[in-house]
Amino acid sequence: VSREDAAQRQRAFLHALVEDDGLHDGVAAERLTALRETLQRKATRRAAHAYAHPARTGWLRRWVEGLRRRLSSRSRPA
Amino acid sequence: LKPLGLGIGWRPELAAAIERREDLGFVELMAESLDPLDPLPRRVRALKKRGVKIVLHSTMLSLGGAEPLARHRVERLAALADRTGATLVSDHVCFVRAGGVESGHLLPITHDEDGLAALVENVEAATRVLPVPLALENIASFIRLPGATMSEPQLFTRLFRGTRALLLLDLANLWANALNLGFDPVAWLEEMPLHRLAYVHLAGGLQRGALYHDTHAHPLPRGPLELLGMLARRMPVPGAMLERDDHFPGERELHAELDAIAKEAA
Repeated sequence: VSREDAAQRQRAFLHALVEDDGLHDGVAAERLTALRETLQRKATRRAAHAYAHPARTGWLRRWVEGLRRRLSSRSRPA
Repeated sequence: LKPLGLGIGWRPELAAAIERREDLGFVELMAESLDPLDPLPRRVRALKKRGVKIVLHSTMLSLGGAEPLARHRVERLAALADRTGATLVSDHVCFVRAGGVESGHLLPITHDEDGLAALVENVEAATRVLPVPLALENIASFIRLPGATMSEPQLFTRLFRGTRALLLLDLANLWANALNLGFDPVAWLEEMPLHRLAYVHLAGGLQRGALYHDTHAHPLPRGPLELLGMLARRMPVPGAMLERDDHFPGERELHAELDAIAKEAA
């Protein structure tokens, strides 16, 4: 049961980070924003790698595009 | 585990400069960049022939994840360890996925009993599959998740009490966290279970606004190097290496950073 509680907390945090309204109890909003920007930078770097090696990294390209879509949709004004 | 000596994260962009460095004891290969069915890159094979040891570094096991451990990822890493003849494999105390979402980043776990229990269970399960010892790294993070009931060094201490894992001490991550979260890195080090130390990571970073970013893409600052020097005065450092992942420097600059690491670790 405790492991399921921990799993639920991790899902909630990740959801807040990439898919939700961007807030998570006990975590400062500006730190979440900084973390999101890091995710975006890493995704961009991975995208460059994926486009350079399309045959080997099709899954990576699809994942990067999915993550960037989620991050950019949550930063759009409501 | 025999001492590893001076090392560097092997990247194709740095291969020539690495090849010309004759005092390297090991190179660290990114597990996710390799296919267990492919031969090792020619230049890595040449290093191995010279006696340079291989360490495999993974970012995808999500050992701190409370969801079930992805056994196929551990098996892939085990196959790679066999294929490369790795001395050691390493990953992080973190989670990278939850609820079907891959973050692509190393995220902190809650430092509490539930977080520790899941971590110990995962590490034990991974250790049973891996053919070589597993070392675990402290991550850099801008945040601490709420609900902690123990410090990070206490979490590592209890993790090592419950498993056979070793420590990959990232002094750049420690430096970044000390700046961003506001704590004393020396006191943190004194609390860590350093008797399990396998090797040390160092890397460069950049101050952006209020936060220091552990980028692996900028020059190595003095802070992590000074921590390495302090550590070496306290105990023998079995291995220390430079990580550089982007904005690759020229050979002279790269070798100067390796010289600085070798000097502090001696």
